[in-house]
Amino acid sequence: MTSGWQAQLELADIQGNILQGYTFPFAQYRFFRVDDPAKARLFIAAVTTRVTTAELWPNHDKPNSAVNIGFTHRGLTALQLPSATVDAFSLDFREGMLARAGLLADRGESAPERWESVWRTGEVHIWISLNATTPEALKARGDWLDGCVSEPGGVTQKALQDAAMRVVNGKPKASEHFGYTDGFGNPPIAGAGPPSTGKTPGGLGKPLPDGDWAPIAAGEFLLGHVNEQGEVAPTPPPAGLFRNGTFMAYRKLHQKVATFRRFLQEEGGRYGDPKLLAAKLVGRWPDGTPLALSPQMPYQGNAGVTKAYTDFRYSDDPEGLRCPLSAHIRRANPRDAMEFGGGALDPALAAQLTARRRIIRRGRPYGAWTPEGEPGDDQAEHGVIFMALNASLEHQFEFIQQRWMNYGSDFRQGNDRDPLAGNQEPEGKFVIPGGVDAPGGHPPHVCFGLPSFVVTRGGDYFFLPSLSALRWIAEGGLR
Amino acid sequence: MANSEGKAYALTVLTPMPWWTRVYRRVVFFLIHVVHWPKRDQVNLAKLSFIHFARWVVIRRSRFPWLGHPQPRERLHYDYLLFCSNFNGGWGEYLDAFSDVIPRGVNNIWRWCIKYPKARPISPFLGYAAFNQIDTDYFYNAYPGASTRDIKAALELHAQLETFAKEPRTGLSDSEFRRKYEAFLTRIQGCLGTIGP
Amino acid sequence: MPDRKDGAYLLTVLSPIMGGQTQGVAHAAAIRATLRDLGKRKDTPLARIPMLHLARWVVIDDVRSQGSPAREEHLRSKYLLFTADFDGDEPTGFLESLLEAVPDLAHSLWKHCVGFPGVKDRDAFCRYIERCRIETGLPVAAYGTYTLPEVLRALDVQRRMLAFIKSNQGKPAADLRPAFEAFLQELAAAPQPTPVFI
Repeated sequence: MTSGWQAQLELADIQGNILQGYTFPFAQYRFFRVDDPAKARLFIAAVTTRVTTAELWPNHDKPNSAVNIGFTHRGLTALQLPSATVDAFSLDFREGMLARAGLLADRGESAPERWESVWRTGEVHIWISLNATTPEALKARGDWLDGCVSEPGGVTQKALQDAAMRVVNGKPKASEHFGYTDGFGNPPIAGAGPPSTGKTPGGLGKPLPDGDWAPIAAGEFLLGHVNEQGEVAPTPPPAGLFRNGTFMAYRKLHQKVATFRRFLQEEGGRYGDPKLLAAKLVGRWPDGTPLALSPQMPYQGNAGVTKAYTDFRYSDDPEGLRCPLSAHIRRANPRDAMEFGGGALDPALAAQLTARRRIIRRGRPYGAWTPEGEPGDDQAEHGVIFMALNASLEHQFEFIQQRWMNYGSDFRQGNDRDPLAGNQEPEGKFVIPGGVDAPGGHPPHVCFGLPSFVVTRGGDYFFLPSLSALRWIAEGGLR
Repeated sequence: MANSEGKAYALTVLTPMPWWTRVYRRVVFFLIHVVHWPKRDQVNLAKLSFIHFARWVVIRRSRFPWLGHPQPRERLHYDYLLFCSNFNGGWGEYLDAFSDVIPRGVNNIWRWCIKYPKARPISPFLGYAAFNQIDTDYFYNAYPGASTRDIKAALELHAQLETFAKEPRTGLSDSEFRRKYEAFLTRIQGCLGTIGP
Repeated sequence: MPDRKDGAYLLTVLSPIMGGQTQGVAHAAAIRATLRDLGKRKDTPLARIPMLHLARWVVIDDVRSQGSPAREEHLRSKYLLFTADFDGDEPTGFLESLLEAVPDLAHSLWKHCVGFPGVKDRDAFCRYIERCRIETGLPVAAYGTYTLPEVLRALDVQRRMLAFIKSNQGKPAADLRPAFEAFLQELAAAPQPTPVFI
């Protein structure tokens, strides 16, 4: 069933980064404080003239940069939106990420007290993202933005974050600092426009019983549209402010490359196969080949292995013998498999449950790359800028973070956390199912004393309005 | 209020029903309890494994306990449905699961309650539950660090271990024993999640 | 019998609370204060009851009016709701155990309820509870065939099994079997766990 592929969404009204993953390698994220609401609104108007929409680019006329904008709750307050509107936003957005750090498991090394100072002072009001094809195009776009800051002004830049894909021999690679190919699996959205074949690509979206895949309801990612629960989630008035907008969780995640490499070496030795261990943690080999399709070797290295990076399911691997139940990608998106120790749920039901817990993931790595074979340095400045876009922070991003990344009950893992992204307890562990029937025949293995590999350095929740809402905010039209 | 203790949450909801729906309720409750209807919803509820214990109780309008003077007799128009559940996960998650996984089953039980909005879509259902919820004043949980799934996993592991311990071992070589032990590990590998608060 | 599910008994008791006051405090408020204090304690005296899985006390002030055109109505008394999920076929064994383990608590709560005979006479107490018992229409019990001691034992065994796996993973085959035999002995000698935070 592939209904919903007609372009029903008003692409010109929706910010581009919500529906399109720009493949521009270079990014810069800037954070501003509102000093003078009237001037800041003029600043927003100036920026809005260049905000990239979700309209598809014709092949012959692709831009070389993209601009998008979002606001924290403090930012909307500082811009002097009517307090009745500002107060009516949902609690998750109103409180912001720092206040909710507890439920996001941001404690210990990831505790807010240790975040970068810009994230602790409450001065981040506006986020503007620049994406570009080349460093020169990025600089040109940055210069333009600087121009808007000086005139009309009304804002102060509080921080700037560069991020970029890894470039090897002049070619950008979709790689992250632990060495995995990244960037798979974003869900297609109903009504966002037809793909070239008119069919949902295999492995993206919701698995259907007949083997096909369906896009996810637009209301999961855009306010004002029907969601996977079959309703338009209520928003407070004015509807025009919320419609076609979304919420974003922005997180700067430091990656401890040295700890990770050491773990692979030591635990990999205990497991008996460091390369396979690296794949078991994530659910994919470093080159992206999913374990579910190829449990014993990656694509690169064996022509017999299919290159279908996303087209797979888990319901035929209920014990996790190919892809561990606790592997990162299986936790982040359980697809059609949900089993809690009492027998598997019907795959169609499991697929429907998972469809309510999807996010759109954007972002880029930041910092210097560690050459292969080197031990790495936990103190080096590198990691990933992680952005999750969803209609409800609480039901989507926060649910995944709290229930699937930092708890294991939905995967028969008790309290155990995600091996890659979880904030580990001292007795944290990772179970790799095995047995004589498992591919390769490794016996079950438990990685005890699992260290944390990722540290939160800061972030916040942002509202990404539609183009019409941006114009209203800029013109003070909500007053 | 003390709605949660460890991993369990105590939910109490009290809702009115017209007394004359008694006959229909009896039939439906019989079907649910004795015949396990609707089958699919009951199977799915069991598979969700997030309820420790729960009960639905009908308090007939004339059957609120009366222990004698000076207690005034109740003069009520409605019967009342009392729902008490001990479950794992947050309040929202629990009701989400009811709405997503067993909406028909849930509707069958609450259908007679005044202004019950049906289990889907979820927002009105959550509103109805929140409006009619009564906070718990004290909640006791003998195993606060263990969810229902934790308990089921531990019971399964214990049973498997007892079976394995009974298997004859004396004639086996070391490597043969190891193979049997690893086969046993394979049988319990889904029961190894860390349990605790 | 709807109160029972597998081996578990799901007891529901609704006790009318006396109107008026005691020592300047309404009876319902006094019950709430007692329960609040109970919740502040570090220990859990109900843990002394060997068959009790879960229990709650809820003070019900009134029913809630659903709004027009539904009829507005009110309860003439407040009620103390007590639910308990325990191993057994009928309530008597549990109630006797309750009186044995927490007689002062039982008295301090139910003394505010109409017709309460006190805790000294077990039969009278059981009769009182029976008068206040409401039959459960639909019970749900996830592991009703297992008693509380069995559940606690299984939780303890699981923890010990993980420790064994940790100590012996990767060890040579020659060391594994004696270690396993020692483990079985450890389990056989382990005391029956009681309800504590695990």
